[in-house]
Amino acid sequence: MTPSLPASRPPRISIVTPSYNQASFLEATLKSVLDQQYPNLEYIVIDGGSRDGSVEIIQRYASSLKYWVSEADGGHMHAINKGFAQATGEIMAWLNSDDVLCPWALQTVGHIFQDLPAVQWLTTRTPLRLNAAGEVTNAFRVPGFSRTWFYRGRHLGGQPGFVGYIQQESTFWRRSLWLAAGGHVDERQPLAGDFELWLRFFERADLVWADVPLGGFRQHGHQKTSDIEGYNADAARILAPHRNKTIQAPVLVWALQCLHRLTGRGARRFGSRQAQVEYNAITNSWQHISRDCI
Amino acid sequence: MMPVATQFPKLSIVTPSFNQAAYLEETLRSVLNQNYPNLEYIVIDGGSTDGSVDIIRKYADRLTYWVSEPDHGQMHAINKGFARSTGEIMAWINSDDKYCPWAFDVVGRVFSSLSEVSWLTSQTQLLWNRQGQLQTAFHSHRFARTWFYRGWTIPLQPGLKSWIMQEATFWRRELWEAAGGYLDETLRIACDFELWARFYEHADLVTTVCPLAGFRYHGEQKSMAQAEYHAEAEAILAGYRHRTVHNPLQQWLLRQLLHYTRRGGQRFGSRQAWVECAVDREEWSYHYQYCI
Repeated sequence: MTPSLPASRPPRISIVTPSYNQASFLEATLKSVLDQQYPNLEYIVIDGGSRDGSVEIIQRYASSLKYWVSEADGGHMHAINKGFAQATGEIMAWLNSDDVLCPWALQTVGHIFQDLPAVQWLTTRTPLRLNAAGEVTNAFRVPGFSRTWFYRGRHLGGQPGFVGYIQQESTFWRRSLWLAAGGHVDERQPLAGDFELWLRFFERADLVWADVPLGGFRQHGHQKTSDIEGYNADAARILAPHRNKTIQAPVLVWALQCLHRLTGRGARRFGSRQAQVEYNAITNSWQHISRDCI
Repeated sequence: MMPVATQFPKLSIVTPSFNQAAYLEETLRSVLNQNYPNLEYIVIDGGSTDGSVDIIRKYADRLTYWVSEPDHGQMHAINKGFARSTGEIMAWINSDDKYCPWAFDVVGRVFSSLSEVSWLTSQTQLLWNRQGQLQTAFHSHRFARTWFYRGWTIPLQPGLKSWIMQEATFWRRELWEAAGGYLDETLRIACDFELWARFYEHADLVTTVCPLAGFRYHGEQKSMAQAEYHAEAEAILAGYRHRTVHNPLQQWLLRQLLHYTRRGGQRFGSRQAWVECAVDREEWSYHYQYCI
């Protein structure tokens, strides 16, 4: 029995996988997307000319792919841009060739975007981490996401007040937001390209989150982001010119938090919206819950 | 690196089934599609008349044992199933719930590498909707024996921390046998709770944050009769309550004592035990702390 979907056709989701010499993990990634049998999936794989058997793996799944190519490219971010240039879906995301989606992710994401036209981009507050063997070893719990928190570095490791990253594997967005934000990832950012994209997204829309885990990050020691300090340093550099978009001084933040708690005021001017979606079992639909924070 | 055989201890799963054809196939597939190399899967149907048997038959060649005949209810079916099982690790999953696809790999790895773990459950509790889509994920507390005795794991109970999710709980055969090796068929719905009470006599419940399974909320199930579950669980607990301190003031004092002197946990409290996997490695490790 395939799980039933809302009556109208679910939105088209375009997933791009950039691949380069990660044959030992690539198949799990491809299967995690294709096994979901989402009825309106457009899956694109851009390989950078791997020589470790990756291409043979991709060829095995070629009939299920919208597009794939294997040729030398200008790196990870370039491959992602090449992939999105082929994409036509209303909902977009990329999945690196060592990470995985949860088996329910596409259904859930399709359902949320279909029910709630106001959701521009979506992530999970329960990001999963996998080990090299593919076992889920951790499920984090992020208290929430907000624009002002982002500008204060609370979604960037190593910064004071850190509450949790925006997990790239679990983040999906609408094409309209992607185009409004420039329609590309920054190829000059070898490590923190996702962080730079979130920055551009936050200028245009609040990040919405669901409790449901959507994807998993595989920690295996051979990946770029295992250079976590390098990632944090790059992201901090990207963030620096934008920090003045919110109040940074801890005393002021604290005072405004007190003001907001006691009077309910100040959040619109000094803070931002925390936007969450929750499933309602009675109506079988997703609903918005929002609150303000400093 | 450990030999492969020990990484996959034999796992026995039992599904009691009775007229839940709409959900049964997803349950079977959530077990079989894990491709766990050392699985023993047993389905005990109570004589369904809604097409459940046809579904079971479709998967019969991958089942260790199955039968469809009238029985005395869900607990009886589970007991019948476990009587046929030989696995070192055991669990049951009802015919409307589902496992996560990685569940058995994690469970196999944890039990094979950590002898301290006698029973294991998840702190990330999933809820499927009627259509089988994931609707939410809760994070629960770690569990502790003294909290259990105070009723803090019973739904509707004041002071509720979190309940122990039956579908995400796995145990060793030694523990099952030491605890009597049966489910209490005289209970209507809280039989899992009664089993946990007997397990706690022998070992602490260990948790992982890795999600393992989810409960399907479809509005027709027995365990949604929370008031009745609560009453049964309260009655079961009556025989165990004297084993811990109930007075809130006394609890507070002992908590201060534990906090400042690191003493008293063993005598007045219990262990909160958990397993975790170091970043970048494949080794799981066992941890605990005392609480009052």
